[in-house]
This record gives sequence, structure tokens and C-alpha cells, in this order.
Amino acid sequence: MINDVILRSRVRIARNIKDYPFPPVLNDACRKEIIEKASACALTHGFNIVEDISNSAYALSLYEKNLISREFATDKELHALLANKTNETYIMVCEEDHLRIQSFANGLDLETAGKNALECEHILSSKINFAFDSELGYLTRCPTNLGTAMRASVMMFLPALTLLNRMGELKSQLEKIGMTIRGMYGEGSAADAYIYQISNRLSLGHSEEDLLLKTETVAKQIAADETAARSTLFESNKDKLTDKIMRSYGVLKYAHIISSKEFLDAFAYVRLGILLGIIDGCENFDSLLHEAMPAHILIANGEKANNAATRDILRAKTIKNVL
Amino acid sequence: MICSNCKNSNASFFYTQNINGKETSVALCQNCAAKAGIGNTMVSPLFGSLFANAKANKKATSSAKRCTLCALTFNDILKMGKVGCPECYNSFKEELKDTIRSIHGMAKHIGLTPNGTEKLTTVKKELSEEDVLREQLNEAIKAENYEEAANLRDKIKALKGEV
Repeated sequence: MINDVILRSRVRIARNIKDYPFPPVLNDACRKEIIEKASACALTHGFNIVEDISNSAYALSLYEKNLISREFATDKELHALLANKTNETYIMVCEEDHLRIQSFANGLDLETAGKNALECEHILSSKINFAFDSELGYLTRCPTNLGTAMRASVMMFLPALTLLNRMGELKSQLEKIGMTIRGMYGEGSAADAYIYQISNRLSLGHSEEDLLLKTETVAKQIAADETAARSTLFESNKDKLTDKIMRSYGVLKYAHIISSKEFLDAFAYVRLGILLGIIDGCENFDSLLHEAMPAHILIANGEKANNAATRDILRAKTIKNVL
Repeated sequence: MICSNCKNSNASFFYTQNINGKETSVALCQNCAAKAGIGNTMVSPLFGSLFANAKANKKATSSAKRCTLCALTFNDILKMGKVGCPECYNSFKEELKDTIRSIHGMAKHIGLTPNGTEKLTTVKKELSEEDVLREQLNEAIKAENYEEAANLRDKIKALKGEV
């Protein structure tokens, strides 16, 4: 039930190597050295270099899956991506910080994501001398990330809280306890498809264990609130909500041209409809969240999808194939 | 001179950086300098505002000192709202103090250390309702929101059965 609300857990840890400037001012020779240091260490521990990262459509498709940041996906400078065999842990090398470890787990499972990210950190720290200060903790490019440099986050589907106008209140409550809420694609992104990322705002003065626990506790509470809000929303607006859900289903099922924005709006209502039992669920419905995004369509259809208008038609086809 | 980063445009920003004791001259074009946060074009609005107090600015303008590793000045850091290298935290310790305090309060690092033996085992305890309220209380006091602080204190008291 809780995973009807919480799609995924993620733990990110930033690390920088002593005596090197941060990536924006870093020259190619230093970038190469850092990539070599990280690879030498990670490759002997079951990690591989993701070679296709140099292909811009592929890099963007990883961004659409929330596995790497947009800045990293579109970076023209020398950078590298390392992934473990199960694709649960990634290391972005030469992102805003020298190393950004990200571990993912399905649903609410910060314990697993945290364990994997810290294990990866442990592997790297056995060979690499990280920039550290006993008072400030791990030194990062942005002073807001000082301390453990860890961000524990959960991706949550919150249509009912959004439609009942509770997000403003939730946001201010989260800020009071040192947490933050952003859109699906992180900093500065809009909350498309009513999907949000909730994470700790600061990491100085809080241990890794506390950050994981705090995010988990807060996520559970929000999930309970969202579940209750769904009942309220359904009971108070049954006909209107059902109409909106069925119309959205109609758009996904029968549209010939559909933009990303229109898709995400309809996706949210249909997903809510499935969870409320108004529409029968279909296998792979959630996979559309990636498959219907531009870079995924481009990869699946080749050059003809380079044009946005053609892509909107191909998107409609992709969606129909799943429904 | 051509930009040493993109090797495309004419360079207009020049400085020397010192990496592992090796000095290199860096020349960047307007775009690359802006990307690195050295030009005038990139100001992180939210974070930059934390540097806006007169004290920090006074410190910044009164000093032309450069970071011993990346060669940025404190003014460069102000402009981009981010530091240039790990050593900046040492080179500009005094200048950054107020900013770090305004973000993190008086917090000091706890948790993993590079040579520490601490390792995460499991998410053990559950945060109690009282822990959450206490955290909210601390934040309210920090924000000088005393009315709310009083409310939260009452809630904690009620929770402990002291009322």
C-alpha cells in the first residue's frame, strides 16, 4: 500500500578528491586523472564504465529515468559514469562534485539504498583521499552539501494532496524540520505527473543514519496522509474525479498526437484511477513514465523521431501499445 | 589567446591555478568563465543572497587574496555562490564563516569520517513523535517564531503527560 505512494528511494553521497579544484574549473588532464582514480577503484569491485554516456540521446534517457542529473547528461566536458552490475548504484564522475554516488531501491527502502551507497563510498575511500574537515565534514562545491554530503530522498506520487491544495502546507512543514520537496527531476523542476522528490535539505550536524531515518519517517507519514487524502478526494468528488480519470484514459488510449506535458497530466489521473480501482491496471503502465519521454522515443525510433512534431505522434503510438 | 577550456573562443579571463604544486596559467572565454562562475553572468540567486550581508561583502572587497589551490578570489566565490576547490574552505575560512553559519547554524560534522571505523549497519530506531516536535521547536526558535515555539512546547509537555 505504501508503495502506491512511494515509487522509489534514492541515496546520494558527494565526495571530492583532495588537492583538485572542483569540476567547473577543472582542466581535461585533471578530469582524466580523477576518472582514472575512480575507475581503477570501482572496476575491481564489480562496477563497469557506461560507455554510451557519450551518446547524448542515451545520456538523456538515463536522466529521464532519474538515474543521472540533467547537467551531467548534457555536460560537454570530460566526465564518466560508472554503474554496478545490478544497475542499483551509479557513480557520476566530474559532476558538480568529483564523485557523486547514487543508489536506488524500489518503493520505500532507504535502508537498502543507503547501505549500497555507503558500501560504494567505502570502496572508493579505501583508495582515494577525500577532502574532509573535522568540523565541516566532507568538503563539497556547494556549501549547502557540507557534512555527510548525503541526500536521502524518496520519489512520491501525491495527486490527492496536490488536488486538495495541501502541498503548500506540506512544503512549509517540511522546511520546518529541515526537509525539502522538489519536482520529479529535482532542483527547479515542476511537479509533473504529481510526482515529487522529498529529501533532507542539509547534511551538516546530522549523521548518515539519522538522515536516512528522518527521511524514512517523514515519507511514511506523508504516504499515510496521501492515502487518507485519496479517500477524501474520491468521496467528496466521486463523479467529477471519475470523469476526469476516464477522460484522461481516453486521451492516452485514443489521442493521435500527444505532447510530453499532456501525457504527464493524463498519466497522473490514470495512475490515480488504477490505484482507486476505477480503471483496471495494465502491466508496464508505470514504465510509460520513461518510455514516453523524448530521449526514450528517440532511441526506440531512430532519426525520424528527431522532430518534436513526429515525436508527439510516436509518443501516442508508444502509449497505445502499453494500454 | 584562445580559451584553454573550449579551445574555440577568444579568452578574456586569465588566472593561475596550482594543482599538486604544479602552476598552470588558465585563460577562459566569457562562456567558459561564466560556466565556472568567474565571470559576471552567473549568480546563484538563492545562495548568493546569503552572502549579501555587509560584513561578508566588506571582507570580500578588502581582500585581493587568492585561494592557494584554485586561485579564485573571495569575490569570485561570491559571484558563483559556490567555492572553487576544497582548499577554498581553508583559504577563506574567516570569510566563509558567516555564510556557513547562516546555512547550517552552529552545526558541526557528525557521521562518517575518512579514517573512521563507523559503518552504517541498519536503520535502527524509529523517530518518536517527541523527537519530531523537538526538531520543529528548535527550528521555530532559530526562526524567532516564538508563538509557534510556545505551541510546540505545550504539545511536547502534553505528550509527556506534564499538563
